[in-house]
Amino acid sequence: MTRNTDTGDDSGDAVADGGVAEGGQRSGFSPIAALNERFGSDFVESSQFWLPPFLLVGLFVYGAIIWNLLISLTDFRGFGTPDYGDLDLQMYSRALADSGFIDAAINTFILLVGFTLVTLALGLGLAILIDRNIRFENTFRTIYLLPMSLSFVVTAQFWAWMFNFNNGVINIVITSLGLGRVDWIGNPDIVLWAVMFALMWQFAGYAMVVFLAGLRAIPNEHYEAAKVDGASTVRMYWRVIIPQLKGSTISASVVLMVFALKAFDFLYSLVGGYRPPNGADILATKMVREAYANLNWAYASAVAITLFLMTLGIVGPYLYYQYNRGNL
Amino acid sequence: MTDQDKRLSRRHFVGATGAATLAGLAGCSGGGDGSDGSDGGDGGGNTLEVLHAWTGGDGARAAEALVSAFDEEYPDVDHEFNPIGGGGNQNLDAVVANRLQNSDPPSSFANWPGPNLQRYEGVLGEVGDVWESEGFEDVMVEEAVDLHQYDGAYRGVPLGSHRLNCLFYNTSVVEEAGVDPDSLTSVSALIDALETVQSETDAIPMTHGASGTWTTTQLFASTMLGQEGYDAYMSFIDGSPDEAAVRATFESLAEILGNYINDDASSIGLTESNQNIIEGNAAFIHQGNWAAGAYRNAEDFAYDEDWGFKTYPGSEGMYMLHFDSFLYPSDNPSPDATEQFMAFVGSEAAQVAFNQYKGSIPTRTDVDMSQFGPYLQETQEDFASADERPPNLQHGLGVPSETMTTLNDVISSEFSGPYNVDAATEGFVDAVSN
Amino acid sequence: MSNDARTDGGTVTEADPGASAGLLAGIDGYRVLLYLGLLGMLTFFLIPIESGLVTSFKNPSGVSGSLPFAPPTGGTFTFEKWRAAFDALGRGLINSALYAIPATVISALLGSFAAYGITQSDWKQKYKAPVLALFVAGIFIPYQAVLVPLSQFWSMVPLQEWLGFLWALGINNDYAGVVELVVTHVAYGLPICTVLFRSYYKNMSEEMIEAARLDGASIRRIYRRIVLPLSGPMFAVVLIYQFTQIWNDLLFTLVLVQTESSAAAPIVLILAGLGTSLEGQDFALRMAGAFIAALPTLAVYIAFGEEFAEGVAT
Repeated sequence: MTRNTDTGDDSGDAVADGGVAEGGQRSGFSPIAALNERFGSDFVESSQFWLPPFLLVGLFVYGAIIWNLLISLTDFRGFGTPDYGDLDLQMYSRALADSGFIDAAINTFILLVGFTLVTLALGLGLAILIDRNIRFENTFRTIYLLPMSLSFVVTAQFWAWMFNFNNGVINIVITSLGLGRVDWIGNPDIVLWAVMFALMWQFAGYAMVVFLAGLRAIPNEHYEAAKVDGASTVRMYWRVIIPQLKGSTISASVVLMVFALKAFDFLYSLVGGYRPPNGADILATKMVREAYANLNWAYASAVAITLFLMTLGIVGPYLYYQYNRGNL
Repeated sequence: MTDQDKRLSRRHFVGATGAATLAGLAGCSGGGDGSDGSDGGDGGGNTLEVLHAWTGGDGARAAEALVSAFDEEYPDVDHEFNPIGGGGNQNLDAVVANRLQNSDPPSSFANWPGPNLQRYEGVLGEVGDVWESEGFEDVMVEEAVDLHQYDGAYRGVPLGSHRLNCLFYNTSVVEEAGVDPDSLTSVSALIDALETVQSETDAIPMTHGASGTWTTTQLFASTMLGQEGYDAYMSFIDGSPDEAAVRATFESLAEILGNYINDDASSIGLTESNQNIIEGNAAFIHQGNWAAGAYRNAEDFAYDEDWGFKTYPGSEGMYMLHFDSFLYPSDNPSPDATEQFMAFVGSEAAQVAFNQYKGSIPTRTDVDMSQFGPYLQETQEDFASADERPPNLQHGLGVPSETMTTLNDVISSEFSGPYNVDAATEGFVDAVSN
Repeated sequence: MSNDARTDGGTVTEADPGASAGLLAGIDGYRVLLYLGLLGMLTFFLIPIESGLVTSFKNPSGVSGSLPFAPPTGGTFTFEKWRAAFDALGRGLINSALYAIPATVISALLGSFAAYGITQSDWKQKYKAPVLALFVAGIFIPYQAVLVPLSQFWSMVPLQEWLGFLWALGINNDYAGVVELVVTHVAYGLPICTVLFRSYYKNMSEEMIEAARLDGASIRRIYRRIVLPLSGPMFAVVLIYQFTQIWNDLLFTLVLVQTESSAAAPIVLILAGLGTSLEGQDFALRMAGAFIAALPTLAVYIAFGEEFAEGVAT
């Protein structure tokens, strides 16, 4: 870390050279003054720090989304370049008429809601367990969070094996209980729930960490007061503690939902191909398949825009909420 | 227009140097022979770069045999054969598509001819002069002649052919059940036999690996051919399907898939399914004859003694066609070398070298089959003497790739258990109708 | 499940802080259930990993013939799959490091710059908020929404020409994909890095910075002399978080490098197709491969678990 001073400076220079606003900084003085007048005294000088990253994000994230929107209005498919002269909503009406798209949208929604709820519930349970003054707290916490550090590609391998029809742990346990084997991945009615379960395994630790921070932020007096009132532990948590975890719940939900929207990596790795098991197709997998397996670029872009709007529907209110609380 | 041209020419240049360095580095990593690198640099655009997807087992061995045969015939051609692994042909298709999109085509790539060529509209060149100079039109089966043309020009050359309408069986299982496979000459007879296996033995009557939808689509094609006949199948492929014929096919399929296949069918693939035949857990399997490669590689599993072949019931006298071909991209980085390669692919030397390992047969009808095993020799006889050679549905020859995708979507949503005959019929009819 | 364990134990009310001090004092029905719950969950989180680990050491007959969570016995034990997995994935380890490390460092630095420029400088909040909102929203963008333009973009950038000097050195030109991955991961990793640094800089003591400003130090100087040296802990968090994210991501590698056959194929891309060939599903190989691919992030996690937890929690 000690050498950071130098490297930081060097790359600072390098980046500043690429900055668009740099040119004006030394030559014309009055425009800068005007800018600073308008935006604040450090606006121009600090721009060497925030502007290059901002432009990079602006180009790659927001520029790309707008570009994507444009492509979704064309008929671009196969080889060549999109024709931007002829824009219409044809790809969107095609999506609405495509039962595969509708199924994928429904699956996405189920995964989103179901996964978020079960993961929050398990995460909250874990956080409360961990918060009960236990020994080896660090060990438990570390292990519960461990799957979060693994790649979707890695966890998909583990769960493909866990769900294996003949030799998987889950079916072995089930048959030892006297029940019949279940075709977790192959049965289209079950596979989405199986995927949800695996994702819950991976992300419950994350929800736990968020809730634990929330629990630890609640003053001890609240526990004490509830105890004095004679509330049982369950009542205390239900009536006093959990309501105070609203902030944690909201931020954990948003992040979990976004993870669910991105479950592509997991589904791709589960089967090693673009087409997920029957019944587990979500918009994220359909988009990539339409684009890179079928070369339906415009249609894939339309699916992507749908996915983006779903994300916006979740993140928009969240950002507004954070903004109102002065967290931005 | 001008912008486009500029981009093309720049890309062309990039492609050429790219191929050269690819060859260079591969030379280094392959044999540790550093001199290859400089050769590649000088040779530039002349390096032949071929992409294919034969990365494992039989396929890899066959590809190796092809390369060494090529070296023997054309020792002076710098070449680079790049296997693109992963996801069946998916990754190969994606890589090819990406490079064609970027106007950085390889010299040649493995793919299917027929309607499959539609998706490469505008990016394939012509190899008509190769067909002419090598006299391919006279020695290839006539379907190969037709299917390798698109827009009135030859776009590639066939290397080998697999057969699709195959029913393989484990001899001891069918004997135990008292079923004589050769007597099964209709789909209903097959269903009766499956019932017999079910009641007489503990084995799976028909093993099916449906983790991908393609096995079911493929089974649909053979069943339709066997049950509804050549004309019904051909009009389905050609875009004027008879709804009743499609429905009847799905009804038979629903009966087979609903009653006589393995419990874990939807979570296993072809290989595990085929393993059921080798291990004697199942009586029958429908597959392309690449499945037989696994039997040949299995220990103590001999043709006619341990496993057998029957033309899919009802389709006797027909050979459902499949081609492994090499296509020729326009804007070719190494036109001369690629034409030499194309001529080689259609030659007897190449077709014998490749197909005997791949478990397929030459597309030429004048090839000495003595190096092939008895099973492939019989296949070659069937091929040469077939009354009809209908194109397959699932492997590019019958319908364009887009239609094929739609068909598989229908199988995925309506026919992977529970089996919805009405919806699947409607979906298939809609998908192929013009 | 865990809730049950706790509610059943609800008879004894609060665990007073002293209870855990002595081991014996803690042993009562409630504590027993609590620990059973904790251990039950421990099993739940570890069993897929444990099952994968033992399976990776089994030969084919061990894989199909023994319980999936039972360790291999003398007859079924083999290192073969680990060797095969390492042969397949070894080059992927290097390729992944080639883009994951630079992308992590660059995105952390740029994120620190951006957060500093927005937080510790004096311009109007009403203009800062939208800039910041765009950064925050950038965290949540599903990559699918930018994928098609991204591949269009990279097909238009003449990277192959620009990097010609590398190919002249005999480096495979597939490695252009690695450069693309670095830039792409930096761009899409920047939002989270910025937000993480922002939360840190917001709480940084302003006195020193104020004092330096009064002395007439430039913004750049303040960053170099004061802010950067104090950013160490946050750099640890961001570097660890970013490294994990970038190493683990499959989607960009699939789009930009495409095939495990590429000379530049990252490890996740090779792993995604490992053990599923026409020869069948080789679960032992897949498990061994999964562990090799996970080793770097696991090592980082075990060494810096606290920083990782902080990174994900923010």
